[in-house]
Amino acid sequence: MNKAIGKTLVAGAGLSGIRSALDLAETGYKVLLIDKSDHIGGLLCQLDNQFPTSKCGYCRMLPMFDRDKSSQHCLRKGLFHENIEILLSTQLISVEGEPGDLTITLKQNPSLIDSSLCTGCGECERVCPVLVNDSFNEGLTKRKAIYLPSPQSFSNAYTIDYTACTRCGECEKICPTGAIKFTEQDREKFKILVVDDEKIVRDSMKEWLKEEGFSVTTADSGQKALELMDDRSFNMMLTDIKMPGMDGVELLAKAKEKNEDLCVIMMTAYAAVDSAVDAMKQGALDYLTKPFDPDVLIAMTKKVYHEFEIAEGRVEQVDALILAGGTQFFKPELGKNPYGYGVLPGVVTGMEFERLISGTGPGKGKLIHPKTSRPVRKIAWFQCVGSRDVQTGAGFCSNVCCMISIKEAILAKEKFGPDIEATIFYMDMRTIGKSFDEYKLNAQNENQVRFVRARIHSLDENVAKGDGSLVARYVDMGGNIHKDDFDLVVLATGQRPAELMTEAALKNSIETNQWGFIETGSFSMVKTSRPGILSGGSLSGLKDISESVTCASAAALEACKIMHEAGKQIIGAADAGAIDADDMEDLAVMARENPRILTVLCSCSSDFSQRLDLESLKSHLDRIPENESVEIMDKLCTDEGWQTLIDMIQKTNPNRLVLGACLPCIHKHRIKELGKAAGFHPSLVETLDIISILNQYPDLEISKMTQRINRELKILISKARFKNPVPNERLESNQNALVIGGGIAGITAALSIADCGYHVDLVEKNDTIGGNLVWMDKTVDGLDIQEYLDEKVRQLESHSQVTIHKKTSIESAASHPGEIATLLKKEGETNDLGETILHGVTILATGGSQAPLEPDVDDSLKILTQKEFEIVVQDRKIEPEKLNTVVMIQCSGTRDEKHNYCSRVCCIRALKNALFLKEKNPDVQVYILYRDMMSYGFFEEYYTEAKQAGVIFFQYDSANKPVTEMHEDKVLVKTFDLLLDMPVEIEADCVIHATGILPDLPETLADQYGAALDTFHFFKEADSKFRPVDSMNYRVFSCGLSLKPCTIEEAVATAEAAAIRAIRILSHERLVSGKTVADTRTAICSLCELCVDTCPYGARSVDRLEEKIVIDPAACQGCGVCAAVCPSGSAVLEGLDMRLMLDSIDMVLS
Amino acid sequence: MMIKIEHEDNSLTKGLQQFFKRLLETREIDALFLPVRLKDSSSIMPSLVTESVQVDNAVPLSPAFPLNSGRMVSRLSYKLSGRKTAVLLRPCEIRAFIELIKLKQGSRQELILIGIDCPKALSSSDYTAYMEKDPLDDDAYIQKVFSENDKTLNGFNFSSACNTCENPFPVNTDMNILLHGVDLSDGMIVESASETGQNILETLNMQQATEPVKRDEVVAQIKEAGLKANEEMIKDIEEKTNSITKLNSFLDRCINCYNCRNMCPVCYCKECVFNTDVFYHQPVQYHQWAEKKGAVKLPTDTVFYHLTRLAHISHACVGCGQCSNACPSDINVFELFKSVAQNTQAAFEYSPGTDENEPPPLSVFHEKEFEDIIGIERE
Repeated sequence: MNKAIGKTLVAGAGLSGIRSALDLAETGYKVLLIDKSDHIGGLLCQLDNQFPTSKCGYCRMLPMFDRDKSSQHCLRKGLFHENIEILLSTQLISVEGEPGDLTITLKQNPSLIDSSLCTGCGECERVCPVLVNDSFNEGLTKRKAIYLPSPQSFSNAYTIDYTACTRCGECEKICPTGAIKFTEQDREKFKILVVDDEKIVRDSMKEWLKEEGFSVTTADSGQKALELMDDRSFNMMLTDIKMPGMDGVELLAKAKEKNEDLCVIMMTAYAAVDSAVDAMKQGALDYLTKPFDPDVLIAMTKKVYHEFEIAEGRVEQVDALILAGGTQFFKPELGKNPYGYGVLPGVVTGMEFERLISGTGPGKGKLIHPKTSRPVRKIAWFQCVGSRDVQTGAGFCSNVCCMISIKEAILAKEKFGPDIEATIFYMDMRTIGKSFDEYKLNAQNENQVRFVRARIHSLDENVAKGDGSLVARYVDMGGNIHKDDFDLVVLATGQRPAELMTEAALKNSIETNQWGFIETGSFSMVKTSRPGILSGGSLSGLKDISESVTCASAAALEACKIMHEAGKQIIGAADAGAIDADDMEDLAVMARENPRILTVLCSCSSDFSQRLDLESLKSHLDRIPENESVEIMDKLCTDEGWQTLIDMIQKTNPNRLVLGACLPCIHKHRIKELGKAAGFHPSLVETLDIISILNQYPDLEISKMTQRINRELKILISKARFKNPVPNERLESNQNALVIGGGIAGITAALSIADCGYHVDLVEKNDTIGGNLVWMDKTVDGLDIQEYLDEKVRQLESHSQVTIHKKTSIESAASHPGEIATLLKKEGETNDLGETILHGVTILATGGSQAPLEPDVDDSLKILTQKEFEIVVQDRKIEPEKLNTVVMIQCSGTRDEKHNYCSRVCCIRALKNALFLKEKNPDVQVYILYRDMMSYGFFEEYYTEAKQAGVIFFQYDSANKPVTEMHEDKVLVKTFDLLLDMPVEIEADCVIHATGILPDLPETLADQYGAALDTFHFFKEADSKFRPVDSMNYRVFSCGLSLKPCTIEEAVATAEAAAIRAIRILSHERLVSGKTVADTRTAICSLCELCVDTCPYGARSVDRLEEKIVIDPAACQGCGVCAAVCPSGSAVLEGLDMRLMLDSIDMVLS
Repeated sequence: MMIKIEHEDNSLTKGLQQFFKRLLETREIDALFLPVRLKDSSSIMPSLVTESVQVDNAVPLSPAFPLNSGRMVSRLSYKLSGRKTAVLLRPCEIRAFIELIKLKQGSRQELILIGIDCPKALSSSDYTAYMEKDPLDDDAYIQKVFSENDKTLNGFNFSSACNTCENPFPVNTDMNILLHGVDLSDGMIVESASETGQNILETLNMQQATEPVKRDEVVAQIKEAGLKANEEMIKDIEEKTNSITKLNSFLDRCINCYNCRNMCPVCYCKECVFNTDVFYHQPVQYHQWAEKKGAVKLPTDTVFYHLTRLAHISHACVGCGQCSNACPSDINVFELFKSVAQNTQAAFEYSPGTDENEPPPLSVFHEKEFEDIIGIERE
């Protein structure tokens, strides 16, 4: 039985696409990752800093175990993983088939640059005559038509902008490695047939087209043309219409019979354009009117040729498709543009601002005015440009702009000093994540960012000043008119669906919502209307990094389910992690031998010689005793050079190799190839990227540069000398999961894992499954929650791979490398020792609950919480028809000193309840007292709907909270409305408090599994943005309310994300460690356990029976903190021992 | 609670011995660990005593301080023995032991920690000389040291560690024997310092004592004097070692005997990194070093050795001075260590030996710490 390996295509290689791809690749499936652009990384490549750290954390998404399968550098630089194939400049054309059997057609731009030959020297860029706007810098700078895709890109390989390139061929001429193979040969393949009865026309056209490199054949009549077509095939035909005998239109019809794909262009005199247009109706592509300019002919031919080049669609068979095309930004210049974007000086979009302040942006890290180059001091952010604005076609909130603007304001202050004045003009600050409100308060209090709740009604240039500054007019909450001056105005532009993705969705009958975002199924953030096609990241609606990553993982989970159900295999499942015996033997022999080092330096077609004294380097290095031989070679990057190297290795038979060359040669997979070709283990090779050092110090004189390179090489020789190669460790790993908590998150996580074929124990402390969903009726979208829950519980209870433990709690847990042992305690059973469960992963889905009302009130029908209200209405204890006035108080006990976070769901719940009341009883007066309406994303619609339905909104300030008093059988609510600027009193039948969500994750429980809690007592993520469901302990995850406040749909997505993160581990019988992992020299270990306490990944523990420190090699990330903290040197990092360090230092100093 | 230890046969030492005998006889404990004068010898060494009659040789207070017993107590307690031991330690020994507990090298589980006001000590060589030249008897010695707070004893300087000690008073024990500020003509006072200590004292059925009124004042004076002496010493030592050249010459007599390490109570490694092959250089390496400068002194790595020790354990230095006591080359290792340790401990706001629940600085991580040093401080 040889089952096929599962394969998923991920369209879009930004943040979400990478997350989906890595999750699946780590699980062991094949992934084809495509992107329409010329680099991976997506939008985040343009953003240097993310909140709340003001740093980037993209690399935190990289694999943690078996990490040598993957590159381990910044994801903005690129990605390499054994199980992922990446195709750039590639688009999705069509999808056919069923889940488990999809046929996908792709369209790929041709690559005229061989990236394995390109050294990134930049000569081509220097000679390129074309200058266009640099889209990477949002058009704030210019670039050539041949350029580096992103400043961070790892490969250093240039790329060509086909739309801008004039194909002058200058770059091809100058390229020293011959990496650019432009044109002629390829164009020769493009066969053109010119048909005209006039010789002069035929000949001149032939000459013009040949000059461009195309193959041209001529025919003097239709008949002749058809004969030629019998002989050979043509790609394009240019035919005159008016010819004796067979005319052009007839020829067109007959030619199309022979070759349906033939592109036909009609040529006609100006007077006879009508017949040309007719011909187009019959299948001609275009027409030319005689007499024509050769340039027009050439341009048209090139266009057809380009289509021909990319039309060779690649067809892929995959099991599932994840769409991860992300979003694009609203273009303010396309609308009414009230803030004069593109017209007024100093009005930029948020993304332009990010580029302005970037070290790789136009100011190279200095903030200068994009138009006047004056220093910038006063900056304003205008929120909701192209969001929450029906006029621009956006009845939705873009979700992320509030936080982005706060971050940008803080960044401006951090980077350019406290003198920067930052003001944010907003409608509601939507700080909807668990730490967002705190972040905003910090911005306000510590960074002195000014927040003004106002909509700017006009923005003009301050003509009087004449320095390009801007004046903004607005009315504040108190009704006062202001005129403020600003140097720079940043428009927080909203988001729009990614054009190409929407297009692809439409073509492939994938449903989109009214705004053009992909529509996902009920209670799912990732399932599209077409089975087998999933939406990852922000394609289905606007998301910040952590939500995008969560959805991307959830999409990967669905893909994983599809592949599992289709019976597809995981790579190497049969011989999972078996150690290659030859490998072991080779390494053991090498380790015993005295080092014999071969040092090879590439002269890079003498380019290096201009900056370096290679001969003196060689003579220096020759003096090192272990250096058997030092060789200078040329063009290692070429096949020829590479072969010389292989020959040299075979001739000199070294057992260590030190290689100084440029990046393409020393890339990890290249070294692996070398190992195979020369029978040499890759871990015995040390590499130095010389070109990066040369580029880093462009002005260093030859002698100094030689010294520097000499020093770097000596360190590597030292490394090679002490190298003690060991094979990566294999750790037997338990393949069962434990899910704690039987709410919707726990249920989903358990079902997801079980559906992928792994056994799950689900522990629930109560005797019912369902958690909070048990008391809920409908969602704001009108979905039936009970129906959904019943179905899920049924699936769970009938699943053969799930064991449910009700009325059970966790007594204790102990982690060992590869396995966790949990002792369960069943309620009521006291004498019993309890059941012990052995599992490989733990998912903490312990949930949360609505906070109690403080102080609690007895009268449960007058003053209630949202939950109480919904329950009494369901029980008909309150009848909406009989109510006159209802007041809802938002943020009651949340977003204050005690619970300083936004619970995210309460505003939506309030809108739902208000709309419900209005529906049942249009006469009821509903007041919502709020601080900021958090109707994020598409929920904004319900806010609009509620306002239209007559719900009245009063905004209050946190310093002046509403109070309630019982007044006979009514409740008197007193508040101070900010807009009216006066106190308001409402007599209500019923007051509903939004008390927020409290997590229910005991610290002791989290601690037993090596997880931690955040300041709000929710689960603490390993990284709130890039690893949103992981803990620092790689086997522990969380989802649902114990992770963060979330809606049902969001809880499901986090559960699915946690499931795939767990399956990544469960799918391996044995986990492979990274190359550099920690070890303990037990003989000299004093068992002080400092290393255990210090390890951030929980990789170290004490084996009390054997009295020694044990290490989970898959958990260890090789950070070396243990080695640093251990005084005796018994905690070590394999391959980085102390002798090596000291020797390296000596080498550098000597 | 406080109980009184009265003179026995007009002798405070005998009174103390009597107290320890009673302790052993309560059967609350199985053994005593305290300094004992060895048979037919003037040497006083810490000993594990199980027979009551052996307590007659105990010398709880003496100028002998041959080693820091903290590390001996760690040997008695790093695993369970099934026996309860009362250990008498000087304050710096207690501090060392608390540090060792944090490093899992000892446990209080089977111990009763008894602290005692420190009478200061002589270096081992001075002690030998003092004993040879008309020493005071045990009682006269106690009277002298606890009434005068002098820096010398019969013309011998107390060790520099003792003279610069800011805290010669026991903390974090089960009970303490108090002498400073106590009217010794009336006997000594034992004060309970934990619940366990109190329970044991209760079973002894001894006369209750009242709070010594003058004690606080005397304690403050002694601390003050120690602080002042310490400041002067640090100033002096910093002057002597404030450059690489000066530090080199300060340590240039070091012969890599590692005695200071062996006697350091907080240097707890089973096998020191300096005993491993890391420093067992290739012969060619010595030649390369010599070739670079024209000559190389052997043994090498002497300054490196001391710097490594400072890096590893200066945060835990309890200031007992045993490193200097053990140095055959008379290097003032203690002075150097104390001056560095003071800075390390201040930097981490770490107070070694005071609380076994205070984690060692290296095992805790703060996101924002030493931003000026690690270079991520925001401008």
